[in-house]
Amino acid sequence: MNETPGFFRLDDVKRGEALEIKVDGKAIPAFAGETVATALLAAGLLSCQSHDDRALGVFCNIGQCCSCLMTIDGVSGVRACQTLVSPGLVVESRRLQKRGSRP
Amino acid sequence: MTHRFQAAVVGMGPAGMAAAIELARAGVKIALIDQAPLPGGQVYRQPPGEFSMPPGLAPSRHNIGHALRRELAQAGSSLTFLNGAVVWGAFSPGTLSVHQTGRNYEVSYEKLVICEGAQERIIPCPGWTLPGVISLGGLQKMITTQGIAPRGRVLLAGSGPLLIGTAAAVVGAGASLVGVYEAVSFTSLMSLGLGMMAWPRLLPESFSYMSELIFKGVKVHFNWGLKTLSGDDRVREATLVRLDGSGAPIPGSERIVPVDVVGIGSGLQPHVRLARLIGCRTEYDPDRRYFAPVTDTWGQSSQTGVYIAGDGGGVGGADWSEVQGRISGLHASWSLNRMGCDQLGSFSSRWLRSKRRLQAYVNALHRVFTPKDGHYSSITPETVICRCEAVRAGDLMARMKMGEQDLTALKPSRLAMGPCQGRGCEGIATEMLRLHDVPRENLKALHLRPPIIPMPLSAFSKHTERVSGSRS
Repeated sequence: MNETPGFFRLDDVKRGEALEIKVDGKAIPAFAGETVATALLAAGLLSCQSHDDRALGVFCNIGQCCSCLMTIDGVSGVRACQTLVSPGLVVESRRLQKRGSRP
Repeated sequence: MTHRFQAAVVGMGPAGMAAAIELARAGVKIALIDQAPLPGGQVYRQPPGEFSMPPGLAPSRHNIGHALRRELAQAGSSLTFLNGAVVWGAFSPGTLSVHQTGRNYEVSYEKLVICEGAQERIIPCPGWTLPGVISLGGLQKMITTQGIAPRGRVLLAGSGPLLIGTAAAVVGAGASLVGVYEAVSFTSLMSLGLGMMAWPRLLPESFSYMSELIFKGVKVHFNWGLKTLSGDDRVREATLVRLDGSGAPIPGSERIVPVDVVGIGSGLQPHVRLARLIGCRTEYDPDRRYFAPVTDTWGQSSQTGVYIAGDGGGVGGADWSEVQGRISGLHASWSLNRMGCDQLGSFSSRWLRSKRRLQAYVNALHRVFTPKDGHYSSITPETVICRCEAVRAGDLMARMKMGEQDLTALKPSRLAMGPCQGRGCEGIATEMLRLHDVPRENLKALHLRPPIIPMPLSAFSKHTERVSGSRS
């Protein structure tokens, strides 16, 4: 298979207006009505944040698990699966370090 | 600022829509609140307004969702929609703190109907947090409401109606499946058919899913489960294993499959957040393996004037939730003196009858699909239990061996200390405690604090303005 595995937009779906969002400095295509999570997956970007070396991506897709928290338009800790795309939206992955546990 | 209502309904799924319909028809001034832009909840979630989906993608029962939405739209002018609104706190009795598109306000109520719905039950295995591993429901909604489908080698594993429903959605979208692995046996699945006779409305849906799979040549492997998932920056490989009657893996039966996208999930459990914040009592149900609020026939919780309806009160599916929502909505209208005892009796008798019939099916569903002890064998010491804080099972096991006996005592590991406040890990850690043979009365849900949903600091901007103002 030549195409990157991940997600693809289904052909026979009518979407909103085509636009672009910026993810970690790179422009990716999106359509009005999509969530940030959808645009990421369709661009082959599966990871939203990392804790030390461990990457986390979209998991529950209904706003519960907080696995897709990203920095969106400068606000940290926003759920990508609950945020709709808009032209020029600036999205950044989060890099966190694990806090220590207590005995 | 406080907006006053006689009743508030939180959640716009089938339960919330049904409760709101009954309250609005009785002329009660109500607010219907949900973070989603459109009514429907997860089960009847609609594609965004900008989208138009081909008919083949619509789930088979979406017509029921449409009917409910129509009924809601015509229910009466006493209904206020607060959509795109997050309920994040409840600081004094009878009020909710709401954040809606950059505004903060309070909603006051005399009666509250909480319809928080369900969340997926996940049984972890090593590697389950890798990118590319998505919950079954999440994957299904990506396809049916956002119009994207997984590409490459897609594998689904777990248990319950969502496994088959998601498999049908994946192949329906033209994507290919390398395998569907159901943890329970074929015979126990067939015994569900009898339970369905009590509520035949579900038969066409099940039939359409099964025929879609058979038509597309997808084989469902029964008595199989995930042992491990592995990869680097994304999932690459799944190790599956045959399970015996107790759900335990049969050594030597492993099968390794290369994968690109994996869907996992082992049924649903009540999503009980606002109800717990308000102080409604919950209990651990050992037969269903989850925490559920304590409610009576009408859905009344341990807190006066607070009802809990739908899957958030105990999982039963969309029809069950709608029926519960009607019953709670009618009772709340009666308790606000909007109808007499006679009317409550005559309006509710039909729904109470439906509830009794549905009960047989719901019980069968839980009997067949509730995980058995053996299914938790996939949790090894290195398995991550808390996604947010990367707490591993080994850490929790060591603490249990040292004598820790409940969830609160496990919190120094940082269990449930992340942004999701234990939504993911609380249920899993509870099962670990149970399998460690702690006394049943120690299985108690954690205490929750606001905000119950991650909120940006800017949501409290008034407060931050005052703080920064005082410094200058």
